[in-house]
Amino acid sequence: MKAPDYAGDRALAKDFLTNFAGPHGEPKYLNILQDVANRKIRAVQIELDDLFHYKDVDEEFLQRVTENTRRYIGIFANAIDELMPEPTEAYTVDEDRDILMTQRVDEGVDGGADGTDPLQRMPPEIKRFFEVYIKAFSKVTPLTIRQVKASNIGQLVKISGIVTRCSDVKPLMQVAVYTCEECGFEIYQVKLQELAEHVPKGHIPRSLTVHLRGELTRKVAPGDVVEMSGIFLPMPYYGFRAMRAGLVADTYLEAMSITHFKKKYEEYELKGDEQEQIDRLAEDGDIYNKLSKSLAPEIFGHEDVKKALLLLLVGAPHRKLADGMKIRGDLHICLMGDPGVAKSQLLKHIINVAPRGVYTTGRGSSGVGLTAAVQKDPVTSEFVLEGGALVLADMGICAIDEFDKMEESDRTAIHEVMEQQTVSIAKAGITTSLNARTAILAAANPAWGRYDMRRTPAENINLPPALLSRFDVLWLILDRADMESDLEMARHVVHVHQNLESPALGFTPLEPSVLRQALARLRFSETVAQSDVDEALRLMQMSKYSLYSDDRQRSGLDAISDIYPS
Amino acid sequence: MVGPQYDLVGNPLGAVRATFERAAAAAAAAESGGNDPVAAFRGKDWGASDLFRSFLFEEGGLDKVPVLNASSIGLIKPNTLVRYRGMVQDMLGTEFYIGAFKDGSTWRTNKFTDFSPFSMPHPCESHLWERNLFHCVPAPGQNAWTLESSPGPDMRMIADCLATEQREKRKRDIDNDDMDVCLYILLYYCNNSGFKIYYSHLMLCFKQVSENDHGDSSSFSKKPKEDDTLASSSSTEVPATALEMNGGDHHIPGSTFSCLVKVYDMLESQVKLNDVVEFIGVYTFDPELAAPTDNPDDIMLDLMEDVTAQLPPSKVPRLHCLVWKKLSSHDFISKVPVVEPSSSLLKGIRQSLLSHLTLVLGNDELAAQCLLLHLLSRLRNKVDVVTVGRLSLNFTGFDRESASIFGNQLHKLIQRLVPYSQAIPLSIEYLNTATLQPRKDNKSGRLVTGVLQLPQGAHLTFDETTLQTGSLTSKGVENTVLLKSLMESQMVEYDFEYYKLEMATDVQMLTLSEGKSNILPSDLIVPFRPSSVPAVNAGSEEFESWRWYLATVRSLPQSTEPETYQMIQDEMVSAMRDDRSLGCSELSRWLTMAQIMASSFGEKSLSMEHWQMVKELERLRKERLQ
Repeated sequence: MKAPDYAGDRALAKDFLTNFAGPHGEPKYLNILQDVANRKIRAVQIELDDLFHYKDVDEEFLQRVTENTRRYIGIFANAIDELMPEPTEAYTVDEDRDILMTQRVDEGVDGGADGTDPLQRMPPEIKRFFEVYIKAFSKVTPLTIRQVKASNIGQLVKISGIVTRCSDVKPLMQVAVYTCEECGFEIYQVKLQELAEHVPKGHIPRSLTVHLRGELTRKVAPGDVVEMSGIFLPMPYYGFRAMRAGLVADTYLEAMSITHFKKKYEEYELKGDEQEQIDRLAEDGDIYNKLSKSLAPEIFGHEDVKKALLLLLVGAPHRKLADGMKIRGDLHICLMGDPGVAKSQLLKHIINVAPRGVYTTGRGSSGVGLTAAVQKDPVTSEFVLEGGALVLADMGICAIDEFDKMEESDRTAIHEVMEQQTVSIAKAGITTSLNARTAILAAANPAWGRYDMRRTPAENINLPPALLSRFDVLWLILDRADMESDLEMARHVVHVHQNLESPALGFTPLEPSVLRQALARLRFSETVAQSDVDEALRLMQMSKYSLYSDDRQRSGLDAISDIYPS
Repeated sequence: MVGPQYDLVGNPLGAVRATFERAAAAAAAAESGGNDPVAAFRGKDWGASDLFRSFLFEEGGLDKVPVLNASSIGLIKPNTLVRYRGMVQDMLGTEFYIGAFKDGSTWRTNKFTDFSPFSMPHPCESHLWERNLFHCVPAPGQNAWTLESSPGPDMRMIADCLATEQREKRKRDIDNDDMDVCLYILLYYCNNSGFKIYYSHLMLCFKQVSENDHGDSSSFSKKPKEDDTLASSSSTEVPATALEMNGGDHHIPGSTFSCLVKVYDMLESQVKLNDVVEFIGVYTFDPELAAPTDNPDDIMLDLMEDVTAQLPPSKVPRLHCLVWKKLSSHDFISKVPVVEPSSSLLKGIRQSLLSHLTLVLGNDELAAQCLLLHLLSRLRNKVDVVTVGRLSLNFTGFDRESASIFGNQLHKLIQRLVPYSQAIPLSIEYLNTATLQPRKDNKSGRLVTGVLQLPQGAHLTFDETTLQTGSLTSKGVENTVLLKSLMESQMVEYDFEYYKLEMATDVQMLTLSEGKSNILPSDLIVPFRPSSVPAVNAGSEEFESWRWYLATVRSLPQSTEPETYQMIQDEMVSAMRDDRSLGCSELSRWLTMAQIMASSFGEKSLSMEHWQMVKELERLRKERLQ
């Protein structure tokens, strides 16, 4: 291995900073440096993406930067020192730091040490008013915490995780000077834990300590899901700890950049391979059947119900007409059926795949209930609004199990939610209206426990007609007494025991994560292209046809799987 | 091969280093270029583990390795080979350590140890390697009989021999001893039934005994005897019961003997949380480094501090694992019949076990049949949300009195039959206060255990007769939800504060209740009808054969002819025509019972005969339900 030419790399860094052109041809980094000189910003973020696109930068240089990041931060900082322009705007100079600096520079001159002795020279860090960060490629898939190994030490890595703990900000001594009155740097420690989906079955999540400095401090709070790039480093030991630790090295990630995960699925961005997967799905055709069958694949049968649920998941865009009238895009579905027909499981599965969903029961134990409640804060004695399930499911799906056992007060509020998509509060001096743009998926038991064939549907349904009419689709799932379904059930049970797996569906069901991405693409039309909207509408059309045809086929034979469109 | 010049039990690290230096020298010789010869050893065995494996399993070395437990720890010298059996309670992630460094021209390794005997030159060429840290505890609910199988040399015998030797030695050179407290390091051989066991460097720390000959019963030789009675009494559990660990305190109390195991070169998928594993490796302890840190406050504030700091070496010994093996219930059986498990042998044992179960259940044969099937059930697979193979059992018709008579007998019986079992009296207070859910404490970085952190194959007996009407707190509601999901889907949700993770379990659950239990909805509900008081009369030999039977039948493979399945399918359809209330769950349970029934006779394939037996059982059971 030949020794890297650091002087050459420094020249290259300087060349890059000077000549790299941004999307509009502007000198991107020189502009940043000017802002730094004007004391507008402190952070100089060098993006690997930019380095990659710069003509004179070869792969080996990029590799050196990612594998020995710390040194290259120094190299870039030195290059910046040489390039730093004069301030073009006046800035306030009454900072302690500047006074100190002036004093130091004067001392240096007075002492006659004209820079010949490097040890006498002031370390460059003291004079700098900027921090250099190197940001990893944006396209690279982040590692999980357990994928970070000893071989990554010193390298720039990108990881994703959830913040579980944050320390207080502590001053960090980066350059020790005997007269150090002020350090100016802060250090912030964070524990990052693996995301649930990255933990292999039967294992527990790993954690990693992250150090945030300077500009990056206080950017995260516990509970945040973030993507970070940073340098994976061993912890230098000192004092007693060095003795205690023996030969063990603690490691940490020195953060270079932080990206908060998008919390709203409207802003869901598809990564390269996910896009590909979905494109492939679309190419395969029959996506409608595939998606609907992938809903709760473990629940046997109920194909038509699943199709309706898929439509609920996809939904349609909200429309606001020119005259101000709103047309709601959410579909409300009520599943009614005998106990033990897996209604609750269906509901839970839908919530699991829904980008945003809340599962609750009509007999919910929480005091907040379904809509919203005014609560008194025990400490401040102030009234605060607390959102119930419907408010929490805004822009998503609210699944309400045991809908027939719901409290009367919640039931009235549901009228409003289903039509107006808002929840109004007028209580304890607070009058407000909260958004609840949610699709309602309800499950209810028949009035007498089991569906009674001798009675009319209206008698069987234990819900007020006004509420019932709010549902777009009401579906009865009954334990049908026919030979064919008996045989199918027996076959299913035997198959599961014989092969220890579900009977083949004719295809492999989509993973919930893929399903969710497909839905995110279909559901939130605000940021998707016209073609996607068309696709969603087409699906809806198709589903309606298929439902009707199914319906017609059976209507003569069997009144049970009737749909009651309102 | 290193050959016998290294005492692998007394000085395992010597052998590790010798193999390393040899391998490093060979690699250096083969590597003509300037490349680092040691780099290739990262994450690999250079022959050390192989050496130990062949010594332990091919040369009979296993019997010479002492077992590390609460009573032996004082007798075992650091840096010797030990074996430890425990459940992986927490996974503390990876630890990076300086695996190899260059001392002058020689490469040295620190693998399998916390401390290097060579001082590391500074600076020097070094390699950072990684190892996995597992926090292990005695398996919750582990029953006393499993200790009978724990082999290894008898530490008490060593202690006694040592005391004798000590006395003689003291008579010889009585003058040069410190008369207060003394520390002896002895090297000796002892002969035991013509079998030579070699121990080197046995470190003992005990109080000075008086000069006369009666002083030989020193304090330390008494203590193991107490442990002995504890271990052999049938009704006592190993001290480390889950209940003791559930105090909400993640610091392990003194009575539970936990161990921090450092495992090398292991693929992630090989060991999972709650696996019960035997680790054989180097026990390390350095009193200097074990000294408590002087500033605990500082540690609490610092996120850098690794979690091992909360497991002080003085309380939690370190074990650097060379060889490990997952344990199944078969590994606890001390006497294994030499013959193949023939069908006729299994049938014979089945009959004797069944009649014993009938006696314990007051001559209720139907209940005994169901209990046998329940004890033989195991989770065969999980198909999405459906679990295949489990058979939880609910005996109804108990009141407090009968629960205390039959329940106690039943639980004692189960304790002597299965490796891990616990009895949980369900009461409002228990539900409201017990910590069932394991929870991650993000402050300490540790997984705080809960009652439901259990090894695979554990057995739980719930006594619902202690339940009275009352109101549940939110914790009580959470606990009932946990129990229900364990019952219905063999899943326990672990709380990681910001999200929950579901852990798959394989737990057998038996509920004793007055009416059908709704808190714990079992697969099989059997009204209990005893006609006499429980009679218990079985020798330890019989128990041994029953344990072997249970372990063997549970591991029997199943392969049934498709024709049989076809016939069963037809039977199911006609049964559904007769009884409209039959659903998936009943049909699935019937098939599970039929499969277990077949296995219980030692049959690998299910026949219609077994199916009919199950149908007959169901018929009798239904009669009782009416």
